Amino acid sequence: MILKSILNIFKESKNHFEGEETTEEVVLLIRRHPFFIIVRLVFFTILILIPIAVGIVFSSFLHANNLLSLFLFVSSVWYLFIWSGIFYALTMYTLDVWIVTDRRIIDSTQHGFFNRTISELHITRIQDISVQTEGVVQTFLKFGNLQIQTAGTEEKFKFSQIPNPTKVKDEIMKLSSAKI
Amino acid sequence: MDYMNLISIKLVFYAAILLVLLGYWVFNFTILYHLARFGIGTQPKKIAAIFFLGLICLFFASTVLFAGLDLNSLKDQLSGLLKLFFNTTYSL
Repeated sequence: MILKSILNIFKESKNHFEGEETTEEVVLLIRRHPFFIIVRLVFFTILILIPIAVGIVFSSFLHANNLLSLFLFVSSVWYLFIWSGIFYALTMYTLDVWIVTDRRIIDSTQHGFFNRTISELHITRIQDISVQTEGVVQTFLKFGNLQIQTAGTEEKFKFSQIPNPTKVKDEIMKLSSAKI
Repeated sequence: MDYMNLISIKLVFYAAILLVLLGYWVFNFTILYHLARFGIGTQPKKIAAIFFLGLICLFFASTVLFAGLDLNSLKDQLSGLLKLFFNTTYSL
């Protein structure tokens, strides 16, 4: 029973967030395009390969000087730190979200563990939405920036490097039209 | 009483290891906490579970490898290694 309820958090957890109003419904949960996390993961993959390469190149030297056990221990510590580094990057990627509900848009930007910015915009205040796709990579991988102009002289609300920005724009416009 | 006599190199070494371990686990706990507490949807929870399982496996492997180290000969090995890298004479 307890195990079942623990396992349910991997299946049944809805897109609820802190400060959600009652009867508020999450329409879109947007993160940056996976391209950005993949680039970081490639960098970590190179770091993973370093001890393997060193082990292959210096294998005879390590055996001759009786340093194999020390090398294996140092490598394991290296992998421990890389593992944490990978998941730190994944954490920052996962927590950097834009939430579009039927009432408002929330931009939650994670700058580090204890540094987060949360901005909010009500759907009714949307005046204009623009989509920007720049360069070959963004065009081929279908991601770009989306900017929302609000009423008055306030700053623009920006979704950076999100996948399918045109579809997101259409969805937000649909929600905005339904509210007016 | 001379407190300096109580502090040996071995004690400083173990204290340093404990300090690094403490910092490392606090850092990992913070990752897990953020994923479980602030993550929206099921994806962060899955990432947290994979992270935790991998961490346990890697930490166990590191502990086993550390136990396999001969700490008495470690000093000689390290000094030999330093001598090899910094006292080598090159000839063209």
